[in-house]
Amino acid sequence: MLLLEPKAASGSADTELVERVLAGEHRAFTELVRRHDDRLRGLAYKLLGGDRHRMDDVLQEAYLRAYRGLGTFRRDAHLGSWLYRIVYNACIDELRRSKRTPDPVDLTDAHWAPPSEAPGPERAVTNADAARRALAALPDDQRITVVMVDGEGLDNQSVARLLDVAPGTVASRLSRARATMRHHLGEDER
Amino acid sequence: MTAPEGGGAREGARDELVAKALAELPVPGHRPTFWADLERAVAAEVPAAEVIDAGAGAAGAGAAGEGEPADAVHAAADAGGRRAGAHRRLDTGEIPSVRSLAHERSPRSTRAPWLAAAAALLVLASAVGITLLGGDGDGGSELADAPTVTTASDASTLGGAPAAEPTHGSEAPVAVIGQDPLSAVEEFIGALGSGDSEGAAAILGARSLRYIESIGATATGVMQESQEGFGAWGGSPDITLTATDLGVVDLLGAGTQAAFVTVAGTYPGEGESQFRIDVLPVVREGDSWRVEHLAHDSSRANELVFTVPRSQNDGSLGGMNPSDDVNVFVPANGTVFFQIDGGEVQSDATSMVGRDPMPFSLFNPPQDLPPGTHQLVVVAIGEDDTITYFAGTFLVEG
Repeated sequence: MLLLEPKAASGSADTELVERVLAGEHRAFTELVRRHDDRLRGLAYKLLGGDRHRMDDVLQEAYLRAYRGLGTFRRDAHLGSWLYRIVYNACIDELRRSKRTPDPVDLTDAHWAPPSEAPGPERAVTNADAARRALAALPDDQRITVVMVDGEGLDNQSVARLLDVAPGTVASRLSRARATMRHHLGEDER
Repeated sequence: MTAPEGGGAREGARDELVAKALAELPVPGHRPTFWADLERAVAAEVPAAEVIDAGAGAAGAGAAGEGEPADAVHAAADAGGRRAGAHRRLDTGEIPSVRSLAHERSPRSTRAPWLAAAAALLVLASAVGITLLGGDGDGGSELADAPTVTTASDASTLGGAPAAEPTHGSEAPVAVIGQDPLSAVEEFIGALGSGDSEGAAAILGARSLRYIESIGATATGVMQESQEGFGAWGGSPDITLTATDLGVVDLLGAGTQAAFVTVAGTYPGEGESQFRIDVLPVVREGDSWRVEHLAHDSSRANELVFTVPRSQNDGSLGGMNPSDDVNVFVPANGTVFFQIDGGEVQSDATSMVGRDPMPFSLFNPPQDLPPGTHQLVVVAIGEDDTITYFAGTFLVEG
C-alpha cells in the first residue's frame, strides 16, 4: 500500500460533514473539501507544472469525482488520504490525456496567494519563479517523480509502485529532474 | 534527511534544495468563481433514480404546446430537492402563471364572463395608477421607491415620465403605447381585462410577436386566450404594480434597455383567493416600452428549472434552508436577474453546468433569509434574444 498520507485534518469533523453530505446537504461538501484544499491545491499545482488554470480545472473534476464517490468512502478511512488519491489520479489522468505546455505564469495576477514564507521579497519571487519555470520545463514523468519524492516526501520505492516503474527508473528520473531544477534555481554550478 | 550533492538521486533521501524550492513555491488561490462553480456542479449532480421524478419546470405548469421539458433539465432538477416534499404546498402553485395561460389554447369561445372582470380591472387599473402616482398626496410613487438594481444604468429612467395617468382606465381605450415600463404593463393588463385583444397585442414587443408567429398563432388570438388569467386580477382588492429597471441588457449582442414589472396582490382565482405575484418583462423599443412576456424560442421548453428551492410539478417552488443559494437552470446563456422580497436586484452570468451542460445561474442572498415565506422574481435575459422569467413564493425553513 502506498503511503499517500497527508497531514490529518480533524477526522471527527470530516465524518460529520460526510454524514451531512450523504443526508442531502450538498453545501456541506464544499465545506468538507475546503478543509483539505490547501494541500490538494499544492499537489495539483506542482504536478501540473505550475499551471493554475489547469489546476482549477483538474480540481473541479477531482472534487466532483469525490462527491460522486462519497457514498463508497469507508468511514474508518482517512478522508484526507482518500481525497489526496483522487486528486493525484485526476492530475495523472490530465497529464496523460494532454501534453500541452503549461500556460505562462503571471506573477502580477491579483488572485495569486502570497508565498507561505518570505525570505526577502525579491529573492522569494525569483526563487518561486525559477521553481515554477523548472517544473514547467520538466517532462511529466520527471515532474511527477520529483514532486512526489522531494515535494511530498515519498521514498523511491513508493514512487516506483505508484508509477508502476522500476526503482532504477525512478532514480534516473529523479536525478535528471533534480539537475534541471537546480539549473533553473541557479545552483547547478555549485 | 540528507541533501544529495549536485542533484544526485540518493535512494530514499530528499534533495533539500529542490525540496525547499518546492515547499516555498507559492501556490495560487483558486479562480474567484471556483467554489461557486463547484457548488453549482455539485448541485447539478443527480442520482439517476431521480431523473424520472424530477418534475416540470417552475414556470412550466400548463405550458402545453411548448414541447416536453428536456430530459437534461429533468435530470438536473434536484440539488437537495429531496427535502422539498416535506414542505407545505405554496399558494402560487394553485394559480397558473401568466405565461402558461398565454400558451393554453383552449377552445373557449366566449369572453362574456370576463367583461365584468375587465370592467372591474379598469377601475382597479385607475386605482393602481393613482397609487403609483402618489395617491397619498406627497407626489411620490411606489415607482420612485422601487428597488435599485445593481446593474441598472439609471433607475430614474423609469420614473422620468408620468407613469400612469388615472384617466387611461375607465375613460379612454388603450391608445398610447407604454411611455414607461409601468404604464406599458398597466395598459397591457387593462387591455386584456377589457377584452381588447388588439390593444393588448399592440403592446407586445417584437420578440413576443416573433414567437407567436413561430407557433402558428396570431397575436390577437393569443391575447384573447390570455385574458382569463390577467382578467381575474380585476377582482383583486390590493393589486400593486412595481417596476424595476434592469438597465441595458444584451439581447442578440445589442444593448437593449429592459425592466420587469411585478404584479402582486390577492388574486381571486378559482376557489379561495390567495396572494399571487406575477412578473412581466418589458423592453424598450424606440420611444416606447413593450411587454415581452413571450420572448421565447418555440424549439425548446421556455422555463426556468430551479434546483434550490426546487421546482415542483405544479409550478411552485419547494423550500430551502436559510443559508442556501438559489440555483436555477435557464434555457439560454446570458444574464439572470434575481430579486427576493422586492429587494435589490442582483445579476449573475450563466455558466454551463452538469453532465449534459446547460446554462445555470446561482444567486447568493446577501444574508441568510429568515424563516417564512419569501417572494422570488427571476428574469433570465438570453443572449439568443429570449427572455424567460419566474415569480412566486417559496418557504425558508425555520
